[in-house]
Amino acid sequence: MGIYILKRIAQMGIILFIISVFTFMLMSFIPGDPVYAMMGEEVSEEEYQRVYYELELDKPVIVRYFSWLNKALHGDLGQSTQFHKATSEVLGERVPITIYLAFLAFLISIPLGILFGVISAVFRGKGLDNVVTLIANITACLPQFWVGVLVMYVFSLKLGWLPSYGFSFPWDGDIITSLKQTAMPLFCLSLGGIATTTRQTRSSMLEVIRQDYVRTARSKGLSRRKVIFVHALKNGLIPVITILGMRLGSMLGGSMFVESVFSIPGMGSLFVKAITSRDMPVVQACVLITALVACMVNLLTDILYAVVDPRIRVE
Amino acid sequence: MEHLLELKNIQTEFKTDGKRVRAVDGVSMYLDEGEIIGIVGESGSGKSVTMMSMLQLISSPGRVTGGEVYLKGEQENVLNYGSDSEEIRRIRGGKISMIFQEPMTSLNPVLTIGYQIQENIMEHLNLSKEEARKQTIEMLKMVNIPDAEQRFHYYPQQFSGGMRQRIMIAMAMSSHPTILVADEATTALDVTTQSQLLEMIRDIAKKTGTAVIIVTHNLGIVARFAERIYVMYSGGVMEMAHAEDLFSHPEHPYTRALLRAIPRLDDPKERVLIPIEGLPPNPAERPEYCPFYDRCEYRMDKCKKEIKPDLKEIRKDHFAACLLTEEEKKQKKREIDEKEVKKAPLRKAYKENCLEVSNIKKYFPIYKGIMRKKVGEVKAIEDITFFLKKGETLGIVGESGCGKTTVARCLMRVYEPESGTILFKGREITHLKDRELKKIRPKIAMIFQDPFSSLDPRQTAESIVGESLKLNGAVKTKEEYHTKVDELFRLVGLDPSLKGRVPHEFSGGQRQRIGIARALSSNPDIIICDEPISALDVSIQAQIINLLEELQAKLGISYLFIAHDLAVVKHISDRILVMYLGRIMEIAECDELYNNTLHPYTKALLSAVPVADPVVEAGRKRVPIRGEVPSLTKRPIGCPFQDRCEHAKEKCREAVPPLRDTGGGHFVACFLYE
Repeated sequence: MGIYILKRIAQMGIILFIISVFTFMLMSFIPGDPVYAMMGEEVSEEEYQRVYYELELDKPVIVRYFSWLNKALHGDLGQSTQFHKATSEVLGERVPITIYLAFLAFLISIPLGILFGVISAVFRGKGLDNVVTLIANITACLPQFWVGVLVMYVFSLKLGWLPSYGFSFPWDGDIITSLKQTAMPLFCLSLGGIATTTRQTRSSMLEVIRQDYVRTARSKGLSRRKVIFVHALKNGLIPVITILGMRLGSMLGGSMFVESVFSIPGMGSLFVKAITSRDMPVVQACVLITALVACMVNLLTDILYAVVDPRIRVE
Repeated sequence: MEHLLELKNIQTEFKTDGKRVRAVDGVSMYLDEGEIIGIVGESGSGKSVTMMSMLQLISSPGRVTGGEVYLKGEQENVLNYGSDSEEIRRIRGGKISMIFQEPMTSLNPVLTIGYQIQENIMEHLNLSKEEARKQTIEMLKMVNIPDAEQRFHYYPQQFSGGMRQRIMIAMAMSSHPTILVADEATTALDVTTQSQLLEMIRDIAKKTGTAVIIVTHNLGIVARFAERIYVMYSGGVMEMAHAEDLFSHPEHPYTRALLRAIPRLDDPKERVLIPIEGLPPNPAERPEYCPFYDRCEYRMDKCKKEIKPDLKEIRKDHFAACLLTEEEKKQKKREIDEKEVKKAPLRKAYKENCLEVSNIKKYFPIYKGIMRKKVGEVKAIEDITFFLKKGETLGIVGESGCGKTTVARCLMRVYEPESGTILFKGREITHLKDRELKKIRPKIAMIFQDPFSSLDPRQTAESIVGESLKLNGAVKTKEEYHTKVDELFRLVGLDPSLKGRVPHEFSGGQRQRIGIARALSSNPDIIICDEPISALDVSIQAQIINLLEELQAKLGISYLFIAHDLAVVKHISDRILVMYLGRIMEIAECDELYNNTLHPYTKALLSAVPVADPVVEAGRKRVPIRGEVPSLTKRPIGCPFQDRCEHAKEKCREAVPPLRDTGGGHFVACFLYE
């Protein structure tokens, strides 16, 4: 087990290294002069020279990469060109918000998705299954920004129950306000997760229910609840875990839309802004953070696999 | 007298493609306390479904539509309990335990075996977790699982197939049931393991007074173990009698036909198998009259006019579901016996060797780590030496993992042996390159085990058979191609008008015929038959065996017949080669091997095969065999069989006994015969 985790961590290191190379190249290979991109077209000759050397553009790419990597490892990701402060400082304000939202949405959507999936598999072909499957299929295709706009129209504009923008953590002040502010964004973020998890759980449970060992469990006279939750679900969850990693990734992606719609100052909306204003250091930092999170989630998924499935744990 | 268990007129339906299919059509049977009964039938005869129906384990879209089940101690019809009610759950696993066919998939892979057994005990015996744990370990010890305390925490995949099935037995018996149902419990296992397990079940059952229902397609197993037998066919019981009576005086035409169709280990060499023509009826279109009518040699006009006959008592304790009277049956039997029985085709014996194999070895490397470094080797086969004459059949037998298939693949030159030589008609082919092999390949053909997956589902039968004709340039014109394909179809007993069909439109037996036609199409000298009939039903097997024999007589082909079913191998082969853990143990003429068995492993193997005759079974000497086949990587130094052999001496542990000729072409690799 220990070796297994170490191996995964080593693999993660390699992947992160490759991503860092690509991220760095993003800046080097993008068309246009990076100095103009940073300072704007109307820059004086001295300014240009200063920034040119500051960015070490006189040195070869490999040297620049390692110096960039060295700085990045020490937390220095350069200056944001639009905010005119350190990128790490900009991100420091934004990232926790997005992580908080994505994490909560994740916590909401997975158990609910599994629950709905199990229900729908157990009642296969019955009315309840049809309803759950239909709703799951529809919601899985709905774009998040559209859902966002829709709920905002209903709950903020028409009913006036919830604020249409803004964000605060529940621990800095009013819990009620915070809940009100995050209700709709969370709803939008978790909806897709619930739908995909439901569908995945349903199909893997249906597969498992047909297995011989479930028949064995039934022939032992176990109650239906035990057969489903002890014997079937533990096996049925294995393929579901696979999609958990992907879910978190798509939640980070989804935060771009949702944060833009609800004007939440998180990493998603920052990312969008950074791209439109060609704020390369911020884009790079966002990509790196997203990659890091995705890798961590994959690592956790792999460990979770080994916990659930002894076939991986014991060779 | 009240029976322990009684099923009355069970009917179970499945819905497929909107059609209602009656899988079990009015089955009645009973079981007395401490009795061992057998239910035999081919696949689709409804034997397992009957058992599942009894416990209400049929899952949707299947449904038990009628019948009654009475169990001693229960006040009412057990089928009246809801399928998830407290009452039925008390019976399931508590009073009636089941062991299923596939030991690989019947245990939950993510729970420890200890948990799975303990759970059963806690459910039915109301014991605390600690007590249940103790009992679990006792049960594991009872079924001879070594180190039971540690193994308690193991997962199913850490055990071999035989061990898992023992764990299943431990689990089934852990709740002290009064009835144990073994549903094809040993079918997927090797013969020696199979007999070990069935003996274990019998011994435990007799010790605890548990009644046992053995469900199987193997007539030998019921002959050896069952006291009373039900014969099922197409969803109904055809015949019921005590074991000796059933085999010595079978009454139903189906039982009679079945016994004439299966080869037995104690058959004389010239025995002719008489196949049952046709196929079992499709349960969706089963006629109202006797379901065996279409294939029955005894059929009379009245059989088709009346509805399906019920079981009726022919003499004391012997029931059969047939409309014919004793007189009519005697008359018919005389007619059948008078009909000229097709003699076994005469085969010419040739002197020249078609294939000579000496000392071939095949090792497979084991790679490990990210860099895939070679860390060891699996010695799949070692020192394989034998020859095959023209027109001869050499049977290769051995349990799974003994290297039968590896030998076949080396001969086909799918693998290149590490050392040794293979001479095909005097020409060395051991290390030929692909291009040079192109001429040899058509001459060594192969028939595969699974007629379902070994044929391309999208190719028509014609192109499956004709492909190699074109490939080898055996035909010049289109006309010639079609005549040749038709000829091949007729040769294997298929109607050439079916050649436009794709494999799934054929039955299992027909598919295997296509496989044979494909093998014949390149006009081979040798056909390697790798378990060619083990996926087929008993009534179909005889057809294929006879076909192979006929073809050999007609075309003078040599067969290398690989199988684990010793009775079949003995029936079809001239000589038999016995393998164990990658080495040859014994080679001898068929009768010589059976009558003068030398190697202790061969003795154990032959003794493990049950013969479909209780009288013979009772008189046979049993040679017990210890333990299981170890994995190839754990092959002991010296004789591979030494740690399971009761004659093993110091010498056997130190050196590998060479294969020696003891006279008359009887080779054996054992120090006992030096």
